[in-house]
Amino acid sequence: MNEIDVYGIIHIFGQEIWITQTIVTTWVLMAILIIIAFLARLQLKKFSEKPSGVQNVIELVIESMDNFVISAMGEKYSYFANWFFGVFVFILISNLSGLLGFRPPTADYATTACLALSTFVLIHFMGILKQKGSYFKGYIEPIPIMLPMNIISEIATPISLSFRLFGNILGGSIIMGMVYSLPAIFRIAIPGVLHIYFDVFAGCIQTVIFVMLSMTFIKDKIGD
Amino acid sequence: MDANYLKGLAYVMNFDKQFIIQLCWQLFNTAVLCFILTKLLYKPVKKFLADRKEKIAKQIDGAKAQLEDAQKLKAQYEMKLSEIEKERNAILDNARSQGKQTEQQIISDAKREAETIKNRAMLDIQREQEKAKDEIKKQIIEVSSLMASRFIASSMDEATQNRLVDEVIADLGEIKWQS
Amino acid sequence: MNGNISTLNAYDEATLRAFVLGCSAIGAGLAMIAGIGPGIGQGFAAGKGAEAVGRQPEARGTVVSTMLLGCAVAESTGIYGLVIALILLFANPLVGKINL
Repeated sequence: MNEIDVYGIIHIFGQEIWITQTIVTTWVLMAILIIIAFLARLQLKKFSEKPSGVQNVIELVIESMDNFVISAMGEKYSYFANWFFGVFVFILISNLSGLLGFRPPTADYATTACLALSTFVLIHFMGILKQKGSYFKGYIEPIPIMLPMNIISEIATPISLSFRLFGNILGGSIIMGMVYSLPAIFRIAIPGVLHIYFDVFAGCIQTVIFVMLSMTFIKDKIGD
Repeated sequence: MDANYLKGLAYVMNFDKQFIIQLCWQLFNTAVLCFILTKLLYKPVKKFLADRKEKIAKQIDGAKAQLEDAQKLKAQYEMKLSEIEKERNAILDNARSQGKQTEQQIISDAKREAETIKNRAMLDIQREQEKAKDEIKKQIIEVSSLMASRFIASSMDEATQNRLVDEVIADLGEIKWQS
Repeated sequence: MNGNISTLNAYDEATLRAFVLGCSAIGAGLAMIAGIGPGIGQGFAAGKGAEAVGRQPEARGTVVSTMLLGCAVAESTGIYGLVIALILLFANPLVGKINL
């Protein structure tokens, strides 16, 4: 139940690589997103000074993302919006893809781990870049004995980030799978309500939380 | 590939070498997606928004400058208008005072002329009166001399005397009336 | 493990697997007890949030969004329990330890 199917195996440099359901779903979602982005790009040419219709929606999306990043990280680091816009949109559409009958890519630990790993790398890259010496000093504060604790807490950050997203989405999809395996009489209206809670509500909230916590952690390490 | 073999590989989560490969796959996918979305949509739209913002700011600035210019012009015109008003008032006042002056002058001239005319007339009258008085005196003297000659010429009775006196008086009266 | 183990037959191996899997299922169930903590914590947060909204209804938006964020963070311990349960059920590392 609720397993990730393996659709095929390819060999690169003698290494077995599984083409899993997650990866295929990711490609489909990527294609959808890129097509939407392309259509929006075509609309951009028709943009006028007085926004209307589709232009309003595109502007709203981009501006609210921009404001979100600026409110969390400050005007100076608004270039992170380039990365987090993609991450946000990808996580959101992944979480919502359960509505279309896909197995959400975020219900595969590989996906959330890769996102959390990128956040982890960003955190420490920015920390070393901006804090320099005091970055390493931060590990032996307030007392040197705290060093192992600090290291564990740093490692716990991406794990908690990835497991939070993964657990929420996988838990939701497992419960949905269980509901769908019930007798037909229970499958009339109940799945709709559960979809709204598990996919729409939890999906949106977890997306916002993932991105916001990522930005907060990075901002914390940057200091100032 | 054997379908059953693939079915046997299905998993929910695993932590082996395949997991790391999947992780790299997803990292690659996410990076590609982010790159494409950024290049394709995010940056152009942001650029468009920034351009528009700048344009609107410029327009607002321009409008402000124009408004300031207009206000300056308005102030200038108002100043000019008030000057014109002042000038007009001055001219009017001037004209009025001049008019009053001329009026006064004309009146006083007229009065003076009237005075002179009156004086002259008075003088004439006085002269005329004097003349008339002289005339009367002369005549009275004449009459009285005539009467005296008559008294003397005729010795006369009471009745004649009275008649004569009456005559003289009547004559005198006539003369007085004539003068 | 003593020498007797190596002489176990296939039937015994199946029994051992079943035993490990059963214990894992019990462990998974026990791991879900961790759900109590976030439940209490989120209830507490929601109560405080309602209190804050009651006191300052004009700050409703901020309070609710902060509360949801806090709830989601507090939920993570429960999610860890869920993940342990899922690992025990679907990616059981203990079954691989049965080496006969």
